[in-house]
Amino acid sequence: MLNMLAVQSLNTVYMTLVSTFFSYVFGLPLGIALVVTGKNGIRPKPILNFVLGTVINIFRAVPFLILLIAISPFTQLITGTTIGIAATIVPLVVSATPFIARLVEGSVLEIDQGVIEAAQSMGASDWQIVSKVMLTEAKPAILVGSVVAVVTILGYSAMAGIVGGAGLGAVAINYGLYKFNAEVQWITIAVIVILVQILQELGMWISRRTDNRI
Amino acid sequence: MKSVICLIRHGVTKGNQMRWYYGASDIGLSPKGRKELEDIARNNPYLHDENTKFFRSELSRTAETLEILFGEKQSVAMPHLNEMNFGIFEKHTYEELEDDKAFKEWVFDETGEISPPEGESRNAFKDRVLLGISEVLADHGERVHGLNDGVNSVCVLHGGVIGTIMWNFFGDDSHTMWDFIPPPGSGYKLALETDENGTRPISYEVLDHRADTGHEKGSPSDKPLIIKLEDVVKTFKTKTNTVQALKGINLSIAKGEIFGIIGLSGAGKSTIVRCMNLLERPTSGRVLVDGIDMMSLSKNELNKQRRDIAMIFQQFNLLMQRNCLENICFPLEIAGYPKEKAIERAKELLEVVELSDKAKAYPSQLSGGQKQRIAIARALATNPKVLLCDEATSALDPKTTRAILSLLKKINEEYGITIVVITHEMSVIQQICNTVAIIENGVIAESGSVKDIFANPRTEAARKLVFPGNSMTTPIVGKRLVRMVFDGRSTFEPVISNMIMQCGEPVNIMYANVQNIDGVSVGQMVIQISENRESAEKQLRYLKSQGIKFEEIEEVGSDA
Repeated sequence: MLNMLAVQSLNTVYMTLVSTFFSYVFGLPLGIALVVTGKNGIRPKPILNFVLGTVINIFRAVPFLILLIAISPFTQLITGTTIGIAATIVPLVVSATPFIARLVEGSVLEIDQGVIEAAQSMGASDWQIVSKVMLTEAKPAILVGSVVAVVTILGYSAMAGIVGGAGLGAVAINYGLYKFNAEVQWITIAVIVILVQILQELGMWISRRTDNRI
Repeated sequence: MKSVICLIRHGVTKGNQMRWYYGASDIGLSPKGRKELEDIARNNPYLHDENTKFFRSELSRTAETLEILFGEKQSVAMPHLNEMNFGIFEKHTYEELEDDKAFKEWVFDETGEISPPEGESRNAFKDRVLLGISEVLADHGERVHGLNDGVNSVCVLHGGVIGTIMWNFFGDDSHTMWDFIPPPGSGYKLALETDENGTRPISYEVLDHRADTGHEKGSPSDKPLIIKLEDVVKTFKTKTNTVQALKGINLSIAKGEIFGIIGLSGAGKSTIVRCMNLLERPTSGRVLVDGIDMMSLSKNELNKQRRDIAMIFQQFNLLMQRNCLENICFPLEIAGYPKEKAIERAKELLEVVELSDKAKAYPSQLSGGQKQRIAIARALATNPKVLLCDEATSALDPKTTRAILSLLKKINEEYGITIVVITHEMSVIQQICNTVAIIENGVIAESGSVKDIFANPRTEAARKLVFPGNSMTTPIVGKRLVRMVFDGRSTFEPVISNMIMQCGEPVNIMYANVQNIDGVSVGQMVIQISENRESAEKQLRYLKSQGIKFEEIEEVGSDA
């Protein structure tokens, strides 16, 4: 039992981190694009911005559980299966990407418009502004956002247990809920709480360490 | 042959009389120098007749000066001096001057009769004065610095005769005295009628052009321009209405000057400066920077051009996640400098702004003034031709403001960078600007040299700024107010007390302000003169006789 808990904890951490990573691969550029094409952005593109925003909103509006099932053909296409770790990662990424895009957008919008203007006045290209001003100046805020994102994805990953996913969520559902084993249920919940706690504190610590604004 | 340099401190035209003051820097002349100069004038038929008077001027507190009041004949003859054309600038450096015995005899009294100001050693004093003069010589074409107290002209004596006289000393050799009597910028111009050969004056007239020394005419038009705005219009559209922020701005900024743009908030001054580097794209019109039409440039070309037009801001706009050194490196990174070179340059600039010890500090650890210094260093990194300052001192306290302004002035003088200063504070303009444009409701209300506008504001907008705030809030009924303007000379004289003694009538000082503007003491005073018409006339006559510029004014500033 303990052995299984340990394995599934690792699975959860693995799913969470891999999903977060891929979500950022897609979400970060998407978030930047939202800012850049926005009304006060450095390259305003109202139509593109509207389309992006709407698509993101649609994906965020669909509850994760529904999304999980709805995109299973897509999951099948990519991973060749609809159960297990790999199959959980796909819907997690699809669901978290729009969420992360919004988080990144918020972080980048926090940057003082004047700083971007200063860079423009120095003759920085749009690409230089994105890479040297937006990303570096928003780094601490993006890191704080990523802590929120990791914890949210961790929560979602537990949900995936319901449709044959892996990880602690699956344990809680399969052993705790379906087999009426309250003890297992509480233990898994406790483990998840501890994981959340560790990730949260670690993330905030890194963010504080890298923020030079204090 | 003896070649001597002496500086004319001040030249004034009063009626048809010319009055010259001689002296070098703030030390004047040695007694020997004074005597020789006097002899030159006496022995020169063009300069001397029975009406010529020589005075020891009270202008210099440390040494002898010579004041010559020429008669009418001499004033006519003045242009003839040009024909003599003996003088040339021969000495160009400090070392050369140091070696010139005759020069030293003239300017310093080797017998030790000229003493340095208290607290300064004789050698230090000599060094300072020599350096000041050599700077003038080496630097002609730029501004006169190292010298103050109203030096506006340089006279080169050569072979015992007055040779070239450089009025206003703008280093423009193509100008002769024909153009320069009286000094340009004074608002007076000499209209000459000459004989058929064009060499001998038949008659002349001093024309008062003070009323139209606007920017078009009064600007240093001989100097090459760096920024030119042609009919720039900027309209902002919001959902509900359109706002015309700039309604056709025409502006010329000469290379190397410190140009001020002043106006109340919402006047459009920030928009103007942002149009200069196209942070704001004008709705119509043309923006020329260093001859390049900014609006015709592609995005890439514009970015390259912007490296020549640096900008600093009210809120400093430093990158918070980079330390000072990295902040200064930033524009260099953008421009693609190799890293080591960028760091080297950044360290240099930290020294210029005197913050070398803060290289590793982050902006959040700095005070406002320090942040602005870093921002200035960052702006200078790419060796720009122009520095735009958008309310750069508005977030700073008065003391820090002064420090930042003198840093800007130093940068202007040492690197020849043209500076455009946007501000809502007249004191900022007074402290560093040569030329100023006053913006109101998106148009230029008035522009010209700071001295002129301060001495003679013509528009309501300018008056509002020249008279600070609520300096005169009490309504005064039935009394006559006179605004007097002092030039560098008259402020030394106790005009008011003399006037009271002469006229036997009291005056009320309503407002007084004397400032050092661009090296010349300019002041103004508003006095209330007698209600009695006769006494008032007497008082005004007295002012007139003293050659003081004045005007009767309506009450101003009471609504402020």
